[in-house]
Amino acid sequence: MRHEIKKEIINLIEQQTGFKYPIRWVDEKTTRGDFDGRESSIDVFYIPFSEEDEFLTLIEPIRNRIRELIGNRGLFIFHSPEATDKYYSHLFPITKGIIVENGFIKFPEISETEGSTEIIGARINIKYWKAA
Amino acid sequence: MKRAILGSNTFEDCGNIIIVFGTPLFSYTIDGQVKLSFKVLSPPANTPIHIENNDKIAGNVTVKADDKSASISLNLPESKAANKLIDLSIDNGTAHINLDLRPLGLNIYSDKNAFHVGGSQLSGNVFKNCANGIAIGD
Repeated sequence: MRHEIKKEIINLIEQQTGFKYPIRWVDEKTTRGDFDGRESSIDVFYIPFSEEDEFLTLIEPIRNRIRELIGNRGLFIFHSPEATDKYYSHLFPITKGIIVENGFIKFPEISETEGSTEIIGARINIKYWKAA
Repeated sequence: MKRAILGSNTFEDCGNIIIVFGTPLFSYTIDGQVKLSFKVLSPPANTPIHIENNDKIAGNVTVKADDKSASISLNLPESKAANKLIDLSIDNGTAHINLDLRPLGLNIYSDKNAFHVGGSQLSGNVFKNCANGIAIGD
């Protein structure tokens, strides 16, 4: 599947769900091993078990569109908030406690997960990264 | 000293707090009342918004302002989420800013703990004398 199509599908779902849950295409950073439908699977993070049905209801109006774009059925893999924190915190970086003078913090892109930052400052006094 | 707080991050004497794809997102002055300017282009947003000193230039929005606060809300016929794009209040000379660009299709927002860009967070950072504090997009 082309990168642009993957991005369009993620954007569709994010907007339909009001960005309520971080989502990401399954890859080696989230799922090991092979299974049927891996190429058309999307991870949904920080979603309590009790909200999984609500998620599927929310995206019902765009499911046909998603199927058209994928060319197959989409598969969703739900990760609870507890599981997300325990196993996937590397996808949700927090930049905390930095002092930046005469510089800036840059997000090269708006990424739903694993976003990277560039920190440019003439004097950075404290710097540490803390996983969620 | 000009001071602002956004998502637990502090900005002191910064020219622009945030720029989005090269465009300064907002600025404010206090001149009798709070005057707020706000600009986001489309793309990256799903609709352009442009407010200049509380005057609407582009976008279906509502602007409210008084001597201590100002806000801009997106007028949506059927809102799925809160549609206030920015809310700024002045307390003891410090601007407290809440921001939410999700109604514009951009996963950028603040809460009391952090400023969120996608799945990344900035929390408890201090920006001093920065021309642009946070730059989003190339």
